[in-house]
Amino acid sequence: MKFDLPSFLMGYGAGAGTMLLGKHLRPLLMEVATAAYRFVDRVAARAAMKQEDIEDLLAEAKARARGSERTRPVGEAQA
Amino acid sequence: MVFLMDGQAAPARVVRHSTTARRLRLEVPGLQWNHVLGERLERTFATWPGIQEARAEPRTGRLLVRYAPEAPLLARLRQQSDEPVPWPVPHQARPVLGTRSAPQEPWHAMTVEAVLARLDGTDQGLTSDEAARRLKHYGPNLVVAEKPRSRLSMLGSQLATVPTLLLMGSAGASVLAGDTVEATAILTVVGLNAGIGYRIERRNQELLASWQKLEAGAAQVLRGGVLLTVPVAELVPGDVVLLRAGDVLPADVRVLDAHRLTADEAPLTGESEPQAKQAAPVDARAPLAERTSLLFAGTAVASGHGRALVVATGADTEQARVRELVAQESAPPTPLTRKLGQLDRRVAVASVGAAGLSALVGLAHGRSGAQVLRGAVALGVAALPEGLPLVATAALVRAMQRLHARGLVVRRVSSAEALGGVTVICTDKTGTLTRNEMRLEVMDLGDGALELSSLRPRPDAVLEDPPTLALALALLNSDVDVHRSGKELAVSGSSTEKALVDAAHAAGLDGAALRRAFPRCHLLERSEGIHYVVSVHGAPGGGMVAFVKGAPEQVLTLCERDLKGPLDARTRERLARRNDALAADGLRVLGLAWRRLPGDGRHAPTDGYTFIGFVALRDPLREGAAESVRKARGAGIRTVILTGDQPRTAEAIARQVGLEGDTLTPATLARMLELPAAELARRLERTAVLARVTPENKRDLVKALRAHGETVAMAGDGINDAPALQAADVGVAVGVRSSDMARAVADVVMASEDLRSIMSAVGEGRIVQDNLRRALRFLFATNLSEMALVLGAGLLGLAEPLTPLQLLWINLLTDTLPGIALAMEPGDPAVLDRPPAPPGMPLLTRPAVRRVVRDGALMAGVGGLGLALGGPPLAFGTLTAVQLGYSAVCRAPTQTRRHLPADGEWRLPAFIGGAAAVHVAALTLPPLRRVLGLPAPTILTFGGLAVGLVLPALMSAVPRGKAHD
Repeated sequence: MKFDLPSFLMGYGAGAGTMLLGKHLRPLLMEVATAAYRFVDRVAARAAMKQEDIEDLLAEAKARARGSERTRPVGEAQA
Repeated sequence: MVFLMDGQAAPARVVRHSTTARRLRLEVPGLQWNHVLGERLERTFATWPGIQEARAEPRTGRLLVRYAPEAPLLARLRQQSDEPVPWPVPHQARPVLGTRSAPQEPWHAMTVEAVLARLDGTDQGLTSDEAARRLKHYGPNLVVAEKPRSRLSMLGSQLATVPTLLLMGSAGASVLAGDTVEATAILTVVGLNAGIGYRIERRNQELLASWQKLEAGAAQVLRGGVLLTVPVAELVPGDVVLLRAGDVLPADVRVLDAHRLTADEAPLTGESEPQAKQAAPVDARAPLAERTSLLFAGTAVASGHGRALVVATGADTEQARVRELVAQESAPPTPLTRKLGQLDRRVAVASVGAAGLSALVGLAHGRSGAQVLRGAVALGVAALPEGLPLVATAALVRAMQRLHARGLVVRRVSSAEALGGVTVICTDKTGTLTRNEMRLEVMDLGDGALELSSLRPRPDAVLEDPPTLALALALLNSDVDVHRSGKELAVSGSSTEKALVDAAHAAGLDGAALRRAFPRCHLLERSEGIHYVVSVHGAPGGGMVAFVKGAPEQVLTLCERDLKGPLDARTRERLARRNDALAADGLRVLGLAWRRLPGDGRHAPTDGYTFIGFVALRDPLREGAAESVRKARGAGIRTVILTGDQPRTAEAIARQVGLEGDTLTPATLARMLELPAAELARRLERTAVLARVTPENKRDLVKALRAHGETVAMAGDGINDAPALQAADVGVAVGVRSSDMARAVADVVMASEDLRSIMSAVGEGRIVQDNLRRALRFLFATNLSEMALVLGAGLLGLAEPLTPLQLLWINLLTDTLPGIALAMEPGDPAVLDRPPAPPGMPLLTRPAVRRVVRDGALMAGVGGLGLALGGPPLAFGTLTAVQLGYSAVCRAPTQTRRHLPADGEWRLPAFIGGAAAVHVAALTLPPLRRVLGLPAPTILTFGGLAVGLVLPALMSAVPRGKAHD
């Protein structure tokens, strides 16, 4: 098989990187992963909150609309 | 609101309540991402009458409750605004400390009874139940410690620089153009730079963390009349603590009763002498240092014992207040960070401009999109000095290592350079310039000062030999605890009496034998208006003697004669003048007197004493203090003393270290800071001493100096120095005994207490500055040559002379190696004999920029010649060679290097040799040639290489005869 320097360098780099990762970078990776999770969670929470807000808004609008329809004849009669 | 779940009350906040829709949206603490709690809540609500639906959403931490028209309880709820209300999100939640503050009162001005009544306590302490209740109410006795910097933010700060972002952009553009190898190479460079910077910061943080002192763990507390050992975190206002010599105070306490109680408050107030503490109230307006009825958290009991009532814990203590000051102050960016930031921005503009220009030229020549993109990336890469972070880091790390060998740990790496630009050193006196331990300096028995080292006491004739009598009196009249620790005698007590006892021991007197020969019958302490101590002893030949030691003016009034005869008015006047002279010299002076007592000696009379003489003590200068101030002056750096001590003591120290100038007090400082800028600058220039200062005053002076363009280094060790350490350009925590807080905010921490280290650090900083300037000149000139070559070829419509990968190869290997060697050159030994560089001076001055442009153009010319003669491969070979040769021109002037030891001299030749070997490998080895897209070498290639290597040295030698920096 022909020796290909870029492939060799990439392979060597990946191996050395893994060793480094295991020994020294685990705490850092942990922080990176925690921050990533935190970010995703925050985005998910934000999205869900907005969804709830819309749901609340629509529910109230529906209740008001149906409520006013029910009360209108009484109001008109009073007028 | 509160709702019940499984019999427990749980709080929740109403987010929204629509009575029309009969929907209630609640935010429940702890519900977010907690499915189990969500299900339990749903089950609980389902059992309530009138509830139609309860739905928990663990993603938002909210609960939706829909209810029937006449549902009890819920219908009564009021609708709240839709505005979001701050609510602790679990991951942001911090322990809420001291949720409720203890009552704030002028405790020092209140009587013991009033303090007890106000805190609803007794002198027998709180009951355990009451203590538990108060602990819940006031929170634990902790001060929130500064959070260490997270790894992520450390890594982030390495990546968030303009050149790194541009490089990442270039990598993206390379991917778009289909050059994955280039993109990988660029990203490797980014990773390498970030990794090195991260590793250095991390190692420093770990080193400092290992120095952290253990906090005081437990306190002796009276609870319900029983003595208990309680963790300091559980102390509450109203607790009664027992105080003994050596205790570090866990909270601010009000003295209930005291026996010779003194506290070393140097860390908080800067007072070098332990302060006597007593139960009597003092004036409400008394400054911190004069509140003798209070002891403060973080200070230590120096001598005596007593009982005290806790009045402030956790965030309410004075120490916490100083911490707050520190938190308000953000450390200014170091000059290097500022200047490199400036440089980065300019380089970024140049890089983007060059890439844009290249794209325009490419489009004008009708090239394809991928070619244009590749050309733009090449020019962008050529313009960015990729090796700069590595080179700057190398210079700083070399300085850090050399400083570390001298006992200095650099916390903020760029501070190593900032030290070089320091124009003013503000230093604390106690513990920094002086040792913070009293020593007997003068003994004057009427014939001038005696040579203390040549004293030969005669223990067999104590009462007959005046020097022996003086030493023995000082020893016997002092109330210290002497105990043996190993082979050494350890003395604890007030620093003045400790110094006297130490001096007697050092002269050869045996304290234990003397105490046996002169057994003490009783001791009359100092009291209100009486500033002397009388001790009555049995004498060896029978009878009694009284010894007096204290304020000379009062001791003299007790005396009717001195060692030579009766005291007449003239002699008294002479003695008073001598006393004044000693005191004016910053010494603490005591008068000594004695007399034989008639009868059983139960009552020591207040007259008929014989005046023996004066003893004078002082807190001596630290080793090298005067020398470092002198050195600083030689290096064009002004020194200012900041101290909590009396102006007279501070002035005496200033004289001793050879400082001249005005002495300021807080009042004069406040007036001065209101002066117009020009007048303030003039006054600041004359200021040498700031006495009786508070932490705020220190910080204000440092800020005023900085505002007037000075680069300020602050050296200090106490808690009270922390705000100023933070506000200064470089904060230096002095000594291993420096407070944790000082170390936490300092940029540089000195393990040794030798102030000369600061000056050697300044020298190192200046070497860093010199080396960085040389390395920058090299890097920018070489980058400019690449840019000029690539852009010139593009404008002329020639083939691309260098590919992005070749440019990266040059910038990373062949440029970085010599660059690092230049950054690590040994320094000029006379670096401290010149004034500091002006604070605003850029890293590349105008003449330096002109030189860079000239040299860059010349090198581009050589590369262009290669391009004309042998096409792009020869251009790559010659340009790289000429750059390597140029690095030798950028070295320090030879006359500077001649006087240096050989270490480091080898570095540049070795690094140039290494880089040349790498370059030859790139030109000749087939795998590398393939990666870099180079053909097989020819004679012309090696010829170009040889010419390139020697040409710069020849050119610099011809016109001027020698290389200039």
